[in-house]
Amino acid sequence: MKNITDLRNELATNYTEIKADKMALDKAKELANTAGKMLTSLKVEIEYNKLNCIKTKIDFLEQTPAK
Amino acid sequence: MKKMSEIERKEKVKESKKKYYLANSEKFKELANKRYLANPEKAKERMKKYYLADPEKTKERIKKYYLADPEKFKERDTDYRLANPEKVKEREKKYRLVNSEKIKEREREYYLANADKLKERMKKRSQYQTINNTEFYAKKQLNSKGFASESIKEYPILLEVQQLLIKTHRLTHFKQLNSK
Repeated sequence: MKNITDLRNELATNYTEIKADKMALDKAKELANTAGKMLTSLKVEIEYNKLNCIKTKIDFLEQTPAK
Repeated sequence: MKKMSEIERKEKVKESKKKYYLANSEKFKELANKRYLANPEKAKERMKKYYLADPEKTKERIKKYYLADPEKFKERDTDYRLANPEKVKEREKKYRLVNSEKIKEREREYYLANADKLKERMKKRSQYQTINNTEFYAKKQLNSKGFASESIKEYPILLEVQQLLIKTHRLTHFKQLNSK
């Protein structure tokens, strides 16, 4: 997983798998939880850049065009 | 033989007419229907005249008719509404314009009588809207996580990811509840 687009695609795949009963619920929960934590870490990064007036791009938030 | 008074005579005539009508009601109805179909305008004019002469009597008659068979009345009303939607709309608009004060007063009275119920319903409705509008809910959750509105605007993909997370959470929760 290189960026947020991959994360989104991964979450969408997980969602379809849960719907089709192809994934264990505990595993799905954990994955969603981890994605939530990733978002929190991004928040910290954004906040840090903001406080230090850093205008560099956050690589993870750069979107790649959908395949 | 004792002579009948004028009032008594009239009563007797009325009674016999009523008896005759009840015995031949179908025939009378058929005749009235035929007369109406032959000249509806004239019949409407006559009904209007009758109504204007004594509106209370007509209202009372309609009420009686309604109470005798509410279902039939409602069915007829629905049929009329379906056949003449424009006419009904126009009539309701007119009624609202003429009786706006009356309507407001009625609504106020209803609100005062059912304030608690209405408040509860509104609360439930807003909760329902919040829960079902995932975009709104996702924004709210991102804000509570500490993301500023500008960051969300700058990176709209965050919203998409959060929406997916909400959906996943709901689905797993729902599946877990069902499996219990």
